[in-house]
Amino acid sequence: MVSSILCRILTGGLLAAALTLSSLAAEEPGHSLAMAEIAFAEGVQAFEDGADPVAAERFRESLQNDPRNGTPRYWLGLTLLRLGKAREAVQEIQAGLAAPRPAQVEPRRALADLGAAQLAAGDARAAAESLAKALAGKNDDAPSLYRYGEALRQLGRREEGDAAIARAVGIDPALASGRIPIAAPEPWSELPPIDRRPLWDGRLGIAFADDSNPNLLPEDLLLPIPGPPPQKLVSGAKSDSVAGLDLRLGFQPIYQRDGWNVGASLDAGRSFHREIKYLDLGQAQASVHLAYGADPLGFLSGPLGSTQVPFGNSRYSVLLQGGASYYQLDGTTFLRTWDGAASLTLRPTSGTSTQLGLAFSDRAFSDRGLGNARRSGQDLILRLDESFYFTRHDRFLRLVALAGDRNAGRAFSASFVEGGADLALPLAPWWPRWSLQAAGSLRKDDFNHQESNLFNPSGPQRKDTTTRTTVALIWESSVQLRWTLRGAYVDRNSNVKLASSLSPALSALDYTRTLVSLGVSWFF
Amino acid sequence: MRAMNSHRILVGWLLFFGIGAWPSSPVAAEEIGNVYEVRSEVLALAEGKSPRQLKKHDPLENGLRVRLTRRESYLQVFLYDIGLLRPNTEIQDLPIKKPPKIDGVIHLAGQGRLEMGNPNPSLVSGIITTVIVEWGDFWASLRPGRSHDIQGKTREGSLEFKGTAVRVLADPVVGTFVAVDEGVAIVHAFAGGDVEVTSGHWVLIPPGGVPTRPATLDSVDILEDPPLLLRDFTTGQPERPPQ
Repeated sequence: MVSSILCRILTGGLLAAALTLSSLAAEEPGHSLAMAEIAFAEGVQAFEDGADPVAAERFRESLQNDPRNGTPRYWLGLTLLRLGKAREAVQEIQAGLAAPRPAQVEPRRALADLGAAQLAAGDARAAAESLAKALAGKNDDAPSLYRYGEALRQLGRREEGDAAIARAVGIDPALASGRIPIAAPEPWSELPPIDRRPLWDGRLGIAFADDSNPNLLPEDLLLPIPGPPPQKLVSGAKSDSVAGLDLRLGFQPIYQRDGWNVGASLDAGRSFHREIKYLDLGQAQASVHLAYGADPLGFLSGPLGSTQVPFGNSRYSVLLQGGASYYQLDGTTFLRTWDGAASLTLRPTSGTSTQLGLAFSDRAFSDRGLGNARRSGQDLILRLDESFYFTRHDRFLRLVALAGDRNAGRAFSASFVEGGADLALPLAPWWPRWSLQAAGSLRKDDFNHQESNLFNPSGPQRKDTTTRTTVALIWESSVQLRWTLRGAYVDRNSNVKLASSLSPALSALDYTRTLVSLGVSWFF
Repeated sequence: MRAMNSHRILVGWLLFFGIGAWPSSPVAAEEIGNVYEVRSEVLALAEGKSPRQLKKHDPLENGLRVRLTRRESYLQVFLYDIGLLRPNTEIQDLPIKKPPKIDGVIHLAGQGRLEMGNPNPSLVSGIITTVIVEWGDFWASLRPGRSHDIQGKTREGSLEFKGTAVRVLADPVVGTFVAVDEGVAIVHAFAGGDVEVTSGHWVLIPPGGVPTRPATLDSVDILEDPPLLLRDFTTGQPERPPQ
């Protein structure tokens, strides 16, 4: 049942990705952003040259190529006003200002032009309103003042109208002729974000691995395999092959260079063991990300994954994350979590950065299958990173320190500290498409209660020391395809021993594990 | 027959002088673009003249060099369709329509340079304007099948645009970001590696690197212990190993 849910998530995600990609790749027939801008430029040029019929034609062509852009529609309105088609001009100017991408024109100028069109269309009341707003606090716009006077006169407020017209002529005597040219507005635009990436992005990965100790057991300890009797025994000497499938979809609906960026992500994965099927793990995680600030690599990473931010080198950036995850083991619900995290990254120089992070996770383990509800509780983790960059930001040495507290059943409550280092080393210029990554860490877990000594309740509280080392060689065969060869080694030592009646020399929780994997990821 | 030979000789000499005169032909002074918008300091650098601040509607002649000196500098240019270049005197007769047909619109913000046209135009390539982005943004809309082409250069690589709508960001810390909204851009990284960026796609060339898409390593390949497995003996009691 649960397995089918995960399969649906994976299949649905793949379908969504495929559909999104195909829809993004497909340009709307007859639409071209480039031709929209070129036609608009030709329209502006014709407008400035007084070739109004040509200008109208070009603005219409621009609109056909980019119907959501209000700017050419607005200019079309101005052109129609020049051509004496005042009612159409009012419609186009209003539509341009209300377009999905509103006309880029100075707001006061927009009101003045709308008022001019309304006046020409015979709607003196609307014109007076628009022009009054355009003139609010700025009475030196002679053409608008003149038109405002005209509108007032048409509304029967002759004295006020005459006064306004007299004031306008006083500012610009050329208006005395009563002819007010429709001039081109000054360029008024905010620069569009250059590094806007597609709304959707994704990654699909597959990896094959040889795992020396998937059960994480001491080599000389035997345990019965979960399941109905008669149970086989398994030990830490049992290795297996495993394949992993991984999908990530990212969605960035709000992107701002100077402000908060909002993103959402969905991660789903599943492992398939060749023999030890009860360790097949399925997982899905949904997260939302609220990010502020730019980053040289264009994304910020936190405990709940990464999200896109503008390219740049902000002095600081903030990442707030929330999410939920679901795990299943051997086809049975195993764990559900609610997670939250906050990270602050400081970049005092272009060569260093410091990240401070706080993560919280509320974990609810199932009591079925391999689950154990006594493990349920809350995790709180504080993390401090210091990164040193060498020439470029994907070549770095990062020192990591973590401290955490786990509140769970008495056998599992613990606190831990961890120190580590990550090294990322692109091998350019010798091998431009290759890079090397290495990581190492040392972690000490101190359990809080005597119950943590699972085999000797009167013994000392459990203390574990775990070292991890990972080395990965990465090859980018293309921009979208990345191959990874990885080797990893884990060694855990624990003070928990089996009861002396069994074997005084047998360590109960120690294990070593070596894993070698080859994977490929497709970025889309 | 003799007369015919004389005619051929005359045509040959005309062709020789015509082609010889081509590089210094009046096309060098031809207006191939126009300034639509300019902000902050944007200097025109014409040979033999002192630098002058560009203004709106200033003509941009073939061979002109333009420099945007500040981070807040901004220039928007209309590139004209000048048709196919022809050697000899025909160039002088080349009509520029009023208002001229526009082949492209380019925006350059920040520090950079613009090399309007090419000193040695050819029949094949037509006019090529080079945009050098040192630290800033550049985006362009180009008409398909245009006669006036552009190419880009940044610290990290050079760019050819077969496409019609492209965006480029260059930053000393970030590198060069190239996104294509329509058409195709070919990105040549100086560190090695060419890549074709098609519509809807983007790449980043990090400083000293090759075109790539930065990615975290939190992928399927990350090795982590599964969240529980059997590490805490929740599935049964341990047994003595077989002797």
